[in-house]
Amino acid sequence: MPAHGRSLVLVALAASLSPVAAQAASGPPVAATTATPTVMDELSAPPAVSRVEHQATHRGFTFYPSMPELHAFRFAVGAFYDAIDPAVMYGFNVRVPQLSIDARYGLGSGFSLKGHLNTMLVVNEIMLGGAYAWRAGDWSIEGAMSFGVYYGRLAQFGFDAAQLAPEYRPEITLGYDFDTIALSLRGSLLLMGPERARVGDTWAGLDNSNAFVGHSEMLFVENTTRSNSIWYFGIGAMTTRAYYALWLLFPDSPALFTYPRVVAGYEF
Amino acid sequence: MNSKNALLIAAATVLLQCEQSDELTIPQFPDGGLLRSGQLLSRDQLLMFEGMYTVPQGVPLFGEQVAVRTSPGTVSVLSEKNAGFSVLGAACMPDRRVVVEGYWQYPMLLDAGLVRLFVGPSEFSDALCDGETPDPDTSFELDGHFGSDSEFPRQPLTLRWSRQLKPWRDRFFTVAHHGACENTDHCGAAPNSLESIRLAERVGSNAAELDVRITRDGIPILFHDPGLSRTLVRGTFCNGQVADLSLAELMGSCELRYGELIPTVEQTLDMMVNETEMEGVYLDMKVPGAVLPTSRLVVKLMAELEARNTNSDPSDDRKFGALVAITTDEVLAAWHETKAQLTKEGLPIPPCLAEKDAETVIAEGCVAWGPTWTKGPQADKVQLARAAGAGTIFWTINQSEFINEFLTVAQPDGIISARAALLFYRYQTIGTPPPIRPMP
Repeated sequence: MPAHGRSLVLVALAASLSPVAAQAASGPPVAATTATPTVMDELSAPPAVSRVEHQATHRGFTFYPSMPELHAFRFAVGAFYDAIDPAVMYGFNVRVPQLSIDARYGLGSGFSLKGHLNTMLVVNEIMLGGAYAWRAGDWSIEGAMSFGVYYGRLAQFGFDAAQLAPEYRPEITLGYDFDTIALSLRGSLLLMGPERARVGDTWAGLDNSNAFVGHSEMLFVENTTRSNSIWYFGIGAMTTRAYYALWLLFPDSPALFTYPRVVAGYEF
Repeated sequence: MNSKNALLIAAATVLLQCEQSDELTIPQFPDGGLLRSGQLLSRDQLLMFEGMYTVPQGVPLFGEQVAVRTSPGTVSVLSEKNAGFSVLGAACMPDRRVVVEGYWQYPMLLDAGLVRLFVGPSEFSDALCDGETPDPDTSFELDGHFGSDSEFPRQPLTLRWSRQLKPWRDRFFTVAHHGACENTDHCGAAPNSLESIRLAERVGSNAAELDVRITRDGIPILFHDPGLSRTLVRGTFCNGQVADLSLAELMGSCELRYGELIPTVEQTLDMMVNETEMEGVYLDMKVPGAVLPTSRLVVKLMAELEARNTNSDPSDDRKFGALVAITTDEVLAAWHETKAQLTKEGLPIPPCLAEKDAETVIAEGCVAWGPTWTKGPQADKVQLARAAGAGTIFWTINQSEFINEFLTVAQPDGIISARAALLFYRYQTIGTPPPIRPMP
């Protein structure tokens, strides 16, 4: 980590312990005051670094490029919703939001481990990977690579079917520090395969399967709070093959479909 | 803070992209091609083209082997590669060559092109031009070229007859899934349209599965969804639920994807019986209210067909089965009420298909079982239904490996698929002709 970055971490760490001390450590001496500062005064005092930078270098964000401390841990629970064109699957209109869980574990020196799980019971993805982030002023960038499993199963509504496939997901995220708000633009390549599907006792592959199942471009807004937790929302475009979006064996078109995704959640 | 968040949301919205809706234009020969200057072959002459063919030239287009079947006015080349097909016409030209030309297409892709072939050797074309119908042998071939898009065909393509087709008419049902193609395909015909049913026959189907709903004024029509969504219909005033609009309102307000009108069941049955050689229709009852009026139409059709088939003129004989498909418990209840009502009126009960299980098929006296493929081949249940005299038609298998499994393990009487060309080809290569006809 650059010296400037290390000093930022130290300042941020100091700020997390005591804003007054942090101010003392990072700048000119605090002017003497006649009254003893109250807790509220300390909380409302401007931090030495932005809240976003403090989080990014302390516990890290889920989406914003982050350089968390060694052993720092961030955990997020949220949901997302894909508005998939009913034309993709016989006019089937029901779209169920998915629960998502994300985690980041700091390895120090800009590296972190990332984990992701999303599920709506019949569709599940679990990913695990690593990331490296770098910051320059208000801008930051993070590269990540994850591996995981896509698993879908349905044994109701006339189905006894499943789909299983390994996943590979390189991602790059560009972040901008709005002081209390972290803005992140993330691009992901969705790679998957080989896919195997089961109906009854019969396993087989899918026609038109392709290692490149799509890409996504998401914009995340993560709002810092004084309690070190974060609430977030996001919106973006998913462009995927039908069998990624809806594994249920019907859509066999090799075409890529674009649909919006909205996300929201809370980071602890 | 609020204005900043609003700005961020606006920026995010800019990221959203709209799906690019590419549409395929089916290529055509300019000025109608050579068919225009020739004498079209008769229906009986077209039948001689049916068979399995090897592909000495043009393997990249359709693979090393294709199946060829015919329908009125059409020779269809059906393949497993990308479920590709070719729809061709055949005519004897003034120079006594027989041209077979038209277009090819991969339905899931935006790939299509022109095809122009000639019958060889010359003794076959001479015989055809003399109005005869020679028997094909392994010297019979279709030789010419194919192209991409609208470009003139220049890439060599040769199809050489190798053997007769396995029995399929009256035996195995390649059932078109709500017409020729899926919503996501580029076929130039919307699902559940008359145009799509006509196309389905040309690409390998001999029956169709169609979705039936009811208008506010009680007319059964073909439409899949309960609502008039933008993905299926066009029209400024084409909104709301199908059941809330009268037939006149639907006709006046709505068009399907390629400008087709939403057909009534009555129009559909009339077209299928009189304009195609399709052998059956699987009328999927989407709502209980559709059962009685649809059943009345099927009963009326049965009476008309019986009259045609028992009169002294054999030329108008027509074998066609229409099945009322019982899809849910609510539809089953409506089916019971329908049977009671028709019996009260002294009318016969139309043939039915039950989707739930083989036991329901037997209990209801249906002629066919329509299991979902997503429970697996269920070969024992297929045999149970067959032992009770009922056929089995799986819905809806489009994936080639699963088509193989179901054809070989379950050996059903039919499969609903949007990949008719692929299914027909696979039936001809690995399928077993079922012992009974599953439709009356």
